[in-house]
Amino acid sequence: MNKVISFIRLDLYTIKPYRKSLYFYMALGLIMAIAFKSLSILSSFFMVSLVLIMAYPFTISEKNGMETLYSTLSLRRKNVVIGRYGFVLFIETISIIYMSVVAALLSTFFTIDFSMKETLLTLSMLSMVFSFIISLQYPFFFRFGYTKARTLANIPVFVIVLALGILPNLMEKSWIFQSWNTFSQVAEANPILLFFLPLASGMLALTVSCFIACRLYGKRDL
Amino acid sequence: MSNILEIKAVNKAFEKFSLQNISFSLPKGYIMGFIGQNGAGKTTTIKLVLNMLTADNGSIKVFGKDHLLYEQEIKERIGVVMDYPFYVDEWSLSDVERSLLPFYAKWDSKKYNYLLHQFSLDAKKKVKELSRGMKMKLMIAVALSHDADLLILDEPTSGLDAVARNELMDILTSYMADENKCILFSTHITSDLEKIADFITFIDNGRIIYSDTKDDLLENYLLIKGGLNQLNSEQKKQIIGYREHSVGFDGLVEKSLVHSLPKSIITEPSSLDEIVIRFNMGGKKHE
Repeated sequence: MNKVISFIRLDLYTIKPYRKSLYFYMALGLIMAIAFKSLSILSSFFMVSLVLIMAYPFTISEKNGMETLYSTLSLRRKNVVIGRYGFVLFIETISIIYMSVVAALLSTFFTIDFSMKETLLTLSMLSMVFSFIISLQYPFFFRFGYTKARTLANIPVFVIVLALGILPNLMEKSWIFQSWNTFSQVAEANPILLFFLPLASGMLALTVSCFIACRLYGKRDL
Repeated sequence: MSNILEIKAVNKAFEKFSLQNISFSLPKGYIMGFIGQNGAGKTTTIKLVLNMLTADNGSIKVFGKDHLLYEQEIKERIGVVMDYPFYVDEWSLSDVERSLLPFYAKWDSKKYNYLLHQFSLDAKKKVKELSRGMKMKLMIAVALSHDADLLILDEPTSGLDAVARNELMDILTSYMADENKCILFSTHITSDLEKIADFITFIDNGRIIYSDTKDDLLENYLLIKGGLNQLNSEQKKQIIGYREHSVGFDGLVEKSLVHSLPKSIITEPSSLDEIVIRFNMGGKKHE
């Protein structure tokens, strides 16, 4: 466990010199939220930014030959993989906390409509989408390296975006849609379930993805 | 004499290259030069030791332990210096320490800062601001700061000027003052090894040609020179890197075979450079 925590620290140090991009995205998100008086813009913007930032450890490590560094450190390969997923969880958690606080502050100072319940539910849903995207991309990065896998790993992202756009229309009359409606009604009556279910789904996806990535990275010739 | 590194019958096949039956061992307290031309298999062998590649078969033991089963424990005691630094180029040298120290139980910050000072490296400088020689010294500072018992150097001197190479030799000599330490020094610049290596492992085209003491290697091979037509075709086949020029020939021969050649042929001691060059001259022996 210590090695995994050490690796999360190493990843944080790895992206440290590039933190200005993160600040840039945060500032841009804030400006857009204020300009459009919409907190959901802020949340969506920030989550998209996070997906981009989550590729940083791979791009930076590839640029600087850091897979050799990992091989010289007192680490097993699975520590590298679990540590990288730990880094994702850490950043995701910090982001949700940050977004909740910023949303509350914005509503106070800029008279933007604010409901903590709605904000948390939005963040929970976005967090699930974010986790799904990372779960689909990371195994590719671990197996082929970032440069080789970049195009391939973006396909699942487009599929998710496309699915979110067209599936509700296609399935309007199907049993899935009706089941979803039933589920929504149950969930609406239970906001705690509605908040934690997407988070749990995201966690499950990340766990399965991490397991697959461990196997793929373990077999890879560096 | 206990072995720090022991590689036995290791094979690794790629599409266009393979390591075949690699076996050698490095005893405690010695420096082994790992020589061969570019692409001979030196880095591949080192990658196998570091578990960057998986061997098809064979065994690798470091400090007497299987390098896969005891990977973490072993790597606590290994320092690696490559021909390029593998740190984020935007890191300062202090960032390098902060990033790496959690991985080593025996990390010594005082020693790291002392070594930076010794090597005239400014802790505030960024990795990308360092010269080639400074980057090499940084990697050595990291390797020595966690008290590594085995240093693995992969082409650390390529691209360095003579002064920086000489400094490296001094650093390695003082490191070896502790008889429990040892070094595997892979290079194609063999002149570096003439001064400090105790053992030589010579790899060519994925096969180990020689692995024993440097002195034995230098004694076992002699340079020979003579006039044209002094050797018959059978004798020419015994010459390694046989080369004819306008007035005669030269080549390398195993000492045990010298008696079978004409007495008028001139023999001279060979150097590591000469041995590598002759082995690489378009095949092993003249045919």
